[in-house]
Amino acid sequence: MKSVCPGCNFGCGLYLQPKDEEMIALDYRRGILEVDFKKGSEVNEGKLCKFGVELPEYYANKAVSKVDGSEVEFEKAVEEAGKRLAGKDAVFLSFGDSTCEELIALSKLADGKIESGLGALSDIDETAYMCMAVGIPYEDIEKANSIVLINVDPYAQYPLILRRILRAKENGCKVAYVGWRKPRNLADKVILLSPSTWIKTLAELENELSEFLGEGCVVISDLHPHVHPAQVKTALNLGKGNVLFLKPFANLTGLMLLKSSVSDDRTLDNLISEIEEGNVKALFVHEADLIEVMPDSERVKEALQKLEVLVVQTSRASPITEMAHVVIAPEQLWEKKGVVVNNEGRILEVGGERTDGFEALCKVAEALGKEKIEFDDAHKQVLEKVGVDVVNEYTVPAYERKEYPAQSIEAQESDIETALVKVYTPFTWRDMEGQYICLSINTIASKGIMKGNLVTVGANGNEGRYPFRPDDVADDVVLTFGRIDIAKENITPLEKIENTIWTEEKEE
Amino acid sequence: MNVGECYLGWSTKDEVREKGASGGLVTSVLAAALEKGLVEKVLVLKKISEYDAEPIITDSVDEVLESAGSLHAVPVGLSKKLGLQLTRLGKKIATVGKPCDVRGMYEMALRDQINIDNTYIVGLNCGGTMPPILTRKMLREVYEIDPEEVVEEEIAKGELIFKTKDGKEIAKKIDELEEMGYGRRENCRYCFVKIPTNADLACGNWGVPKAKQGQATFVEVCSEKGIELLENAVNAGYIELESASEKGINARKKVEQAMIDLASKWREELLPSIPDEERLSFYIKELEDCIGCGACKTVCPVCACGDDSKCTTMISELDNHKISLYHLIRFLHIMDSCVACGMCTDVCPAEIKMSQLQARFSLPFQEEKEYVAGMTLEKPPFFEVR
Ligand SMILES: Cc1cc2nc3c(=O)[nH]c(=O)nc-3n(C[C@H](O)[C@H](O)[C@H](O)COP(=O)(O)OP(=O)(O)OC[C@H]3O[C@@H](n4cnc5c(N)ncnc54)[C@H](O)[C@@H]3O)c2cc1C
Ligand code: SF4
Ligand code: SF4
Ligand code: SF4
Ligand code: SF4
Repeated sequence: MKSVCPGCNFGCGLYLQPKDEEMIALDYRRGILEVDFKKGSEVNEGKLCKFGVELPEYYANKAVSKVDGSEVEFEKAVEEAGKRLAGKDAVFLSFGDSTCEELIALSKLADGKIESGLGALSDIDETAYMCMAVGIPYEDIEKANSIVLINVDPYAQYPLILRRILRAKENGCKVAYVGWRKPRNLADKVILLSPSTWIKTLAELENELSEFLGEGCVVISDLHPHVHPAQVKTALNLGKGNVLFLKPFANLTGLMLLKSSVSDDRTLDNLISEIEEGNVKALFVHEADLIEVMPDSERVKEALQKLEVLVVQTSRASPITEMAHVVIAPEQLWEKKGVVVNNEGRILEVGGERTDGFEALCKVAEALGKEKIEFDDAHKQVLEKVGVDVVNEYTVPAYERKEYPAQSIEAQESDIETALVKVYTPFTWRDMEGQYICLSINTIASKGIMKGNLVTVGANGNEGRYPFRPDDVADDVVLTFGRIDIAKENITPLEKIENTIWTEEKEE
Repeated sequence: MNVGECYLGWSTKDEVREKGASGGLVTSVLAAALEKGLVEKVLVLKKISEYDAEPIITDSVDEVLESAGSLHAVPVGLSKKLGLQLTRLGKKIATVGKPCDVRGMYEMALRDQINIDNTYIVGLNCGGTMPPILTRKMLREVYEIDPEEVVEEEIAKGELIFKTKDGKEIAKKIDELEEMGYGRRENCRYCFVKIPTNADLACGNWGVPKAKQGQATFVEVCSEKGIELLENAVNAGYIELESASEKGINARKKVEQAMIDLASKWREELLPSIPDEERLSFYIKELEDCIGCGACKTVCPVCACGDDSKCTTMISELDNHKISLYHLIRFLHIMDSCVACGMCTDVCPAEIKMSQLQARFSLPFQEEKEYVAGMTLEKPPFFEVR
């Protein structure tokens, strides 16, 4: 059946087929599903990144419904969630990893207040919100005169954007990259950021990149719960509306469209502080895992333990489903009826037929005495919001974008000399990425580190030992794609490295 | 009925004949095989649009009947799809397949991925498939029609013809379209196996006389299983057959040869030789954008190693080489068996023309060994290495 990859908000189409029972045992590939490449999909022409290719592995990991740690029937979990949330002033958190219809049901349950974790962007001028929520069509990238990549690594983070950029280059487009790791030979101009001056560099890019900016320039960046507002503001300032923010969750665009603003949202850091302080006592997490998403998982776990009620509705087993008082485990995304909206605003049918997740949200809402919504009405609301009559994967709806004022960026300098820089891939967000660090050739040569050695890195008072990979990063940067246990911070791409031991010990 | 004989045949059901690419024979033979229990399942395409279809393995006769018609802008690979199914467990499956699909099936059979005795293959002649999204673009920009308006496409006399809902018919020369970068996928242009005589039946419209064009399918019986398939369909009342004329048989041969000659021309154009001293830099450049997604291996019918394959165990994310061992190993490992299906190029997110790169190894190698991959169950050259 037709499906959309849940690995990020690119919206790659594919076909999934449940395998025959007998075949599951015979097939060398794990999982109950088989991927077929959907070459007629306008978004990706059948191409997928590693996450999409290995999707059956991801889907192999299913949550089960639980109450206080014991397995229960789905209905029982839903009922229990309603009971426990009654009378509590709960916070409802979602990164948009589900259908728009479910998000509408969640919104009803949350009295219109879904927390997105995007609080760091709350002070960006409201007029720019639409440009943050929905980017320009991918096809426009191929027609661009110039492309500016702001802290987006097409090879590691959003591989499906790469081919669009390559095609643009064939048409004579010039590419500039600003970020932490040189993107091979993709860019005509590369500005590698330095930990002590990176915000200042971003603030001054308008001069540095003057030859790239202007008519026909497209700016590509990304947007997620850890993004620093300076990065988003830079992209908005340089792109002047011609921007595309790539997002790591299946339907974060849909969530942003439905929310219309993030000005009242908290950062995840703030949310956890409020749980720690006892200001938030009940939390409903929708298709997400705070423990995996936040760098400091120990802190998150401790905070979550303080909650009086933690309800998690998710189809995927992960650390948070081990802790929740109630786990509602509905169908996985591919089985759902409903739509998602991708980075460019294209509305895509997910392909499934089930609405258990949707119904669960409605039942909990009913139990709390809130308004209920029918699936078809929720679907209609989505179409209205997007401004289309029907779902057509071949067209990008027209979105109204307002002109917005230049966003001011405080050009601070810091005393950080060497930094641990965190770069997120589709695997990082689900804690499926390997733990290793990337070092510059200079660092490796000057410290005499031998292949196979582990390097000890200290930050935030902790130390970790990691294998390394030679890469095109600056000498003052230690870059990681994985969740790394010494990292702690939420809204910053980097953390101060306090000490390093270029250890001589061989790996076991 | 004997192996080697050629027939003209058509579906006895009007709607299947109408919907079918030529005579609806293929659909009817598959449906009859399922209905009469010759096979348990059938692999066909489930049409979504002119540009999209999902390969399905079904036990529903209705779904098989619905699959009638050729989709030229759906370059789907059917061999891997079939290989991951149940013929190894003794289940009988009938499948449709272009020459590259059938060749892929044979290569999979050589690697114990398919049990060919349990597989009934209805082969289709093939002049080539087109990339769907590029075809949509071509329709908008060259044909100046809305892709959604297209109801039928056809290839005749070197022209690509599209028919629209309001009855318009627009034809353009395929040569000219291909010079503009549209038309068939590159690997199809230098594909040399046009009639799948390795299948149980080889079906097409070449050799169908003018008067019967669109109303009959030309079918060559290639094996005992092919006889079984046809006789079963005749007995079930699904098809009617008449012997093909000498004239038709010769006409078919002539077109086939013309296509093979054209393929030689394209091979020279698309795969020009590289001077020795530039080889390494050529491959480094071509492969520089690889993101290591593994899609090219996943779709390749010749790859059957699974997770413990030579090409993947020798690479590590901790390495950062200018050229990956993954590719170097694959180029060599499958150069005796690549069937040039183009699936690896189609699915590459980094737009690397893997199939074309592989062909630089496999075409000369297979020529030297006088081996055409995927045509028989004869051992490929590398299997003989001790
Ligand atoms: C891409 C393509 C190119 C072809 N080129 C030629 C040619 O140059 N010369 C020639 O003589 N014949 C060619 N054929 C074969 C011809 O179009 C008819 O399929 C054949 O004559 C059988 O006709 P039918 O009416 O009996 O088939 P139908 O009863 O219409 O059955 C067609 C079968 O083909 C399958 N099919 C449709 N599209 C595809 C696809 N893209 N890949 C795999 N299976 C598919 C369907 O699932 C169905 O089972 C081509 C077929 C295809 C699919
Ligand atoms: S780019 Fe995103 S949507 Fe596409 S295959 Fe990769 S993870 Fe999935
Ligand atoms: S590779 Fe050959 S058989 Fe396969 S689709 Fe192309 S022309 Fe047809
Ligand atoms: S290497 Fe590519 S072209 Fe050759 S058989 Fe494999 S997928 Fe097909
Ligand atoms: S499909 Fe392309 S990007 Fe992926 S591994 Fe193969 S060559 Fe590399």
